[in-house]
Amino acid sequence: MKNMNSKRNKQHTILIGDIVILIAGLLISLIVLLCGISRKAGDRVEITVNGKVEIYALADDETIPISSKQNGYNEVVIEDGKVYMKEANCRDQICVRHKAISKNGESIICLPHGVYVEVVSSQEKEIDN
Amino acid sequence: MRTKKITQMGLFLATALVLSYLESLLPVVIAVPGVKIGLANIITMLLLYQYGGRRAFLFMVVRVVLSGFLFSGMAGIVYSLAGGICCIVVMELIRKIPYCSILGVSMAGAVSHNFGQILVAWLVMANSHILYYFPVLCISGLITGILIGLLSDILWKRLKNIL
Repeated sequence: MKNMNSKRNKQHTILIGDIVILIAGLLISLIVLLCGISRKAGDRVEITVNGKVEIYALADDETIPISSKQNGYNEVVIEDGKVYMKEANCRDQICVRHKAISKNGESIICLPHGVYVEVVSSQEKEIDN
Repeated sequence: MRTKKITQMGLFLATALVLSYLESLLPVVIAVPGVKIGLANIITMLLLYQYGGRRAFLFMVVRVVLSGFLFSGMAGIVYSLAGGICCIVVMELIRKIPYCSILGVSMAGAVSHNFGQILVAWLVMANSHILYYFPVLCISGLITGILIGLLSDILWKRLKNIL
C-alpha cells in the first residue's frame, strides 16, 4: 500500500479543472483571433509614437526616422508595399526581427520606445473610429 | 518564527533572481515578442502553495522590482508588476476551486500575467489593436504555464515537508 502511494505521488494529477482552463484559454484565443482576422491588403501606414499618430502611404517607398523618449531611435522603412523596422537602438531588438508587414491590421511594436507601426486600409479604418 | 520567515524569503528571492538571470542567458528560441518561460515563477508557485497568496504577492512585488533594476529597466517593472498582480490574484482564486491541480493554477496564472501586460501596453500605446496580439500570448501562456506547473509540482512534492 505504501509502495503504491509513493508510486502515485510521482505521477502528475491532471484534474478536470485543468482541462477546462486549457480549453477555455484556447477558445478565448480562437475568438480573439477570428475577430482580428480582417486581413485584406492595407494601403496606409500609421505610426504611433506616445499617442501621436502619423500617416504614410504604403505605395510610396520611404525611410522614416523616429526619435522617441530617452534617446530612443527607430527607423521604419516602407519598400515595395511592405513595412519593416530597419533599425532601432532598443534593448530587445524584437521590432527589428519582426517580419515585414503589408496587410490590414498587422503591426510592429517596439515596446521599450512606445513605437507602434500599423498597416490599415482606408475603408475599414472608419468603422474602428 | 519571524527570523525564519525573513531568512526564507531572502533565500527564495536570491533563488528567483538567479533563475531570472539564467533565463536572460538562454538564447531566444522563438522570436515572438513578449514570450518568456518565466523560470522565477516556480518559486512564486512554491510560496503560493506553501504559505498562501499574501506571502506570494509580497514576494512577487519585491522580486519584480529587484529583477527590474538588475535586468530590464524601469519600463519593464511597470509591465511585470501589472502582469504579476493579475497573475497572483487569479492564481489565488483558482487555487480555491476544487478539481484544479497546480497545473491549472499555473496555466491560468501565466495567461492572466500576459493579459495584465497587454492591458498596460494598451494603456501606454493608446491603441486598441494591440489586443489582437492576445491569442499569441494566451497560447504561449498556456504552454509555459504547463511547463512551470510541472516543474513546481515536482519541486513542491519534494520540498513541502522541509519548508
